[in-house]
Amino acid sequence: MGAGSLILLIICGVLFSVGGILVAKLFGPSSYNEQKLEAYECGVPTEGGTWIQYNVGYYLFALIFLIFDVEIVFLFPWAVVIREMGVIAFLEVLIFVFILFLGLLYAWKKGALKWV
Amino acid sequence: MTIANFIFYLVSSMILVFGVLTISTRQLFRSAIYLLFSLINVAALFFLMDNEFLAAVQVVVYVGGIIVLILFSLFLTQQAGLKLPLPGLGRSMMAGLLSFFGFVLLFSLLLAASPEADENSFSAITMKEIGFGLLNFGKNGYVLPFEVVSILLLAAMIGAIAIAFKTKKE
Amino acid sequence: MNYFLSNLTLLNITVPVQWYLYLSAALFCIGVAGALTRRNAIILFMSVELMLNAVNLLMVAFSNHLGDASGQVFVFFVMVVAAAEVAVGLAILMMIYRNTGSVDVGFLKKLKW
Repeated sequence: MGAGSLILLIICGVLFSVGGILVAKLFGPSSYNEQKLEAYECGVPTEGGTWIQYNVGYYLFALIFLIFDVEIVFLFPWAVVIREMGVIAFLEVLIFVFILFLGLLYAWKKGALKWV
Repeated sequence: MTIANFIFYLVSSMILVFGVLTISTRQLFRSAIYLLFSLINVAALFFLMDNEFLAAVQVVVYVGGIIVLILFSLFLTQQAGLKLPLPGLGRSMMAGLLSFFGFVLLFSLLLAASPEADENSFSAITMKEIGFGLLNFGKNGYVLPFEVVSILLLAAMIGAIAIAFKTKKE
Repeated sequence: MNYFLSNLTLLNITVPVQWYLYLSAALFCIGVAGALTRRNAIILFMSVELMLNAVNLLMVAFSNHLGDASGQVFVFFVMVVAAAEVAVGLAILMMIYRNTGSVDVGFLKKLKW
């Protein structure tokens, strides 16, 4: 599949996006209005700059997501071979998941899972 | 030039261009986005080598995890999207020369020791082989590193949470 | 459509392994140049990511070339180490920013005894 599907994907993606924009440019009516340039056409105008400092909670959530993301990545090859390897593979992964579960317990105890 | 070669040239030139932009741009945020493009193109190369699972992992871990973490820490640590000062001319000249000589050294080593251009020996590793490699005992089995990796992740998680929370209490 | 796909798949095997090696050497040197020039700690992290990716590319190309899965298993371990390094490193960086108001590595000279 490799290169063939990659080429097809690239061609389809380019055609799809370029075609959509071209068709809209050709057939759509175009009008100019000041309000169209605002970030939100309806609702209150935005206040302050865009470069504000975020809460540390965002970082903690991204961190916990990243750690368990990596854990799940290891479970995919395991799921492919477990039928052939049997109980031993299951025990190995049980240890793996248990050790990471301790981390989840720590995060829970510390209150990192709570949104502030 | 076949289509696969053309794709390889396209993707690898994008990797290199975005890599250079990553280290040379003056705005931190743009630097992270260029790094993201570079990593996505590396995933495309994995895909070109018929390692679909590895390409997916590259996107999930690097693009979905690490870049997001870098972006959040950018939002936490930078003041009002300021532009960084460019490094001095002497410094960048020196670094460019050093890395260029490093590249020449690596290139000559690779030329001297690279395997024969046997085009048919390229066979993609399947996910099943990776799974057996991860979970097997004995030769070509890496079950001990597999378990140690979980301890490393646990340590990283506990350490990062402990450090990040310490700042919050003050 | 199927015929088209299978034809292209046959074309796929013509990219020789050397090109991947040269590409990864070049990418590694870009990362080294970034780590040498920039003073901002976050860009240093990004340069390290570039270098780790170059090594990943090299290992994947070689493991496909030799038909040995060990290289790709190690790619997974490298990814884990990269994730752990980024997590702890950025947390330390945020702590430094809280205390000193800067993430410039030239600012942290006190560690040099």
